[in-house]
Amino acid sequence: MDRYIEQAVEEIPQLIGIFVTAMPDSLLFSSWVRPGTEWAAEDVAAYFGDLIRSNRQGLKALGAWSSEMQVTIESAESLVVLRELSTDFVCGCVFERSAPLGMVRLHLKRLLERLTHALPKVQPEDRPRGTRIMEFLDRYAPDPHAVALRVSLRAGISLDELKTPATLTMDQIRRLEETACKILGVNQLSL
Amino acid sequence: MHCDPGTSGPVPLRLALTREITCIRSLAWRCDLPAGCDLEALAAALEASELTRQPAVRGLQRFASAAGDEILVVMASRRVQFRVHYTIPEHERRFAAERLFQRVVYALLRP
Amino acid sequence: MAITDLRALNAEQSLTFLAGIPYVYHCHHYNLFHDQTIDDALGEEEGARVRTVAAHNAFRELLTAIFDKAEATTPAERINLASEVFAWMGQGKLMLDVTAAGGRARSASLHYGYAWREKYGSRVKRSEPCDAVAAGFASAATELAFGLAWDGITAKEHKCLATRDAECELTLETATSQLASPPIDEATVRRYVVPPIRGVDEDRIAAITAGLLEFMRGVQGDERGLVAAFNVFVTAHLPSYYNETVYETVHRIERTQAGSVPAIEALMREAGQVCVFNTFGNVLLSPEWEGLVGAPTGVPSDVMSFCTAIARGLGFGHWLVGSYEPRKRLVLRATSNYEVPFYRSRYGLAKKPRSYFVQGAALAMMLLAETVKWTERPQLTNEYYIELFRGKPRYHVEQTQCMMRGDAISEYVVDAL
Repeated sequence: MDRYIEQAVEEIPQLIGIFVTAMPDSLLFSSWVRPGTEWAAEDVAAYFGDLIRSNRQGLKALGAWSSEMQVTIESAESLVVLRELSTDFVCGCVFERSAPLGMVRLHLKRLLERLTHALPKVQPEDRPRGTRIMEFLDRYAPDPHAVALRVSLRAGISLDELKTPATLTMDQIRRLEETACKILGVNQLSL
Repeated sequence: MHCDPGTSGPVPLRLALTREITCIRSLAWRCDLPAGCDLEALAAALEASELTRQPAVRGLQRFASAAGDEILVVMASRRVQFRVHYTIPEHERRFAAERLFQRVVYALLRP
Repeated sequence: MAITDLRALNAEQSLTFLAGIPYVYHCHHYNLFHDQTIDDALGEEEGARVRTVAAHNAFRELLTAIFDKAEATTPAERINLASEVFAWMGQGKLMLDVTAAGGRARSASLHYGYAWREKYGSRVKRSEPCDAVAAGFASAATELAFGLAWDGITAKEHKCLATRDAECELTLETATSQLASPPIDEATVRRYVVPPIRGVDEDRIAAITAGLLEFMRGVQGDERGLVAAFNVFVTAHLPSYYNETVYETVHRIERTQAGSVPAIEALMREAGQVCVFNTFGNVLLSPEWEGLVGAPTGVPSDVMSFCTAIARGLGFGHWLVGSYEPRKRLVLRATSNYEVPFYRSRYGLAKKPRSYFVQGAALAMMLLAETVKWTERPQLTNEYYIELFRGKPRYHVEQTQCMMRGDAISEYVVDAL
């Protein structure tokens, strides 16, 4: 996969980074960033995955979702385009802000076609909910350094038990989820 | 001009504005003045540009704008810190810092 | 009488007093983390109640002493002076519209609400107000202004900047009075300190402390009643507030939820780390520090001495470096701190060491000295904090002596793992 990405970026000088995220867990599958760019690829891939998921849910709520949808973000310094490659993968491309939009679309079309062909067919693993909740907290809790302690205290689950969230009981997972919602200030977790 | 790097001809003044530690986001910015800058003259020029001199610890000069923004100059190291007032919305703090930076540049370039 | 004239310093113990009541400086990172931990332990409703009661008790002590010293006797005088003191402390500008039967209070700039919105507002949606300190203050000020008994007024915040309201708003109502606790004042504090001793690099630490204390004398709330200094929001705060909230909460968890004791103790230590990383770190990188002491050298033993001086400058007590072996061991000692007098006079002797705050602070000092590249202008961001303190632990801290337990001194040993 990395080989395909490297070949693809040679043709696009204004590309700063590509992140392929495996869904539904928003885990980094593959990436490339321009030399000298100090981004944490795992984090970026995770945020991009979550962004696409929220976008998908929002559009579904509006009855306007289609698998062809694309998210374009124009920030002060970069142009970010997110696209679902398949139900299992999301691709996020970061361009220089000065890149002409028409050129970006053209490059993107070719790039995504090549990546789509290179992607494996996967059977997503049904990962334990406890693990996914802890990972979600890790990404979004305001004080991630203290989140395990906070969860332990609030949910009454020991720190040792939280070290293996896959083995939590149903009741513990319910308490964990309630606590996560409280810590994040949301009504439900988008997992 | 209050900055004389010690060469015979006019030398372009190169200053860069960078973001400082960001505990309160984008509130503190800095630039480092080159050796040879006349800091007393800079201070006088800043005061003349409607900044008010504030009490400060030894080794430090501190000036405040009417809006509450501050410029601090460390005399020994020539570090300049620009403190944007915390009531400025985050997305405007960079521009507020640039305006303070401009004041220092103008003060240095004053004949 | 100016508020600044009410300040006093016990220089040899590095303890500060306002009208004879101890006060210290803490930043918004610490304050928010502290309150969050109380709520994590007790839940939002009970957490807010415990915090409000503690703030009420602490401000009742302070305002009683201030009104007495300033000879403020009428309700108008007392309400004005109380609001002025609150703003001076950097707690915010609170408009009190009250009578003996209660009333309301509002503010567009309370320390907790404002700082919470600044720090977390874009990341978390909060549904409960966070200004229990202002609520406790408002009820104490109203009671004292109108000569009401202890706990004669309750206050509750129902609008808050942290919950995205334009202003904070509190309602004050009459309540059933309760018995007062004896104040923790300068005389009480004197009973629980031991004569100061010299530590490593004592002369330099003492000289820097003097400069910092002088600088802190000029720190006070601005027109909004907030203090933005060293890139953080700073408050002059009452140790009684911190102590009552911490120890009431820890004791309750010990009684009712023993399995959670390690978690709450770790979070209380974490609060100390948050304080040292943010406040001490930002002080070290500030222009004020550079003017006063010079740019940080990055030499670990320098950082250790500087952190000790900062602790003293903030009124945390006479901390001293007993010994320090870079990358191996730190022995930090204290002949006074702001926790001991409260604990001993409220609860008697502790059964185990309980200076959670200093335990966390000592560990963080070790990491700041050993790991941070001070000469490379580090950015003290949340991400950097996580990088430093998360992952495989590099050091372990143990409090080997505790004045709360009756030991002659407090001692904290940090060892490399």
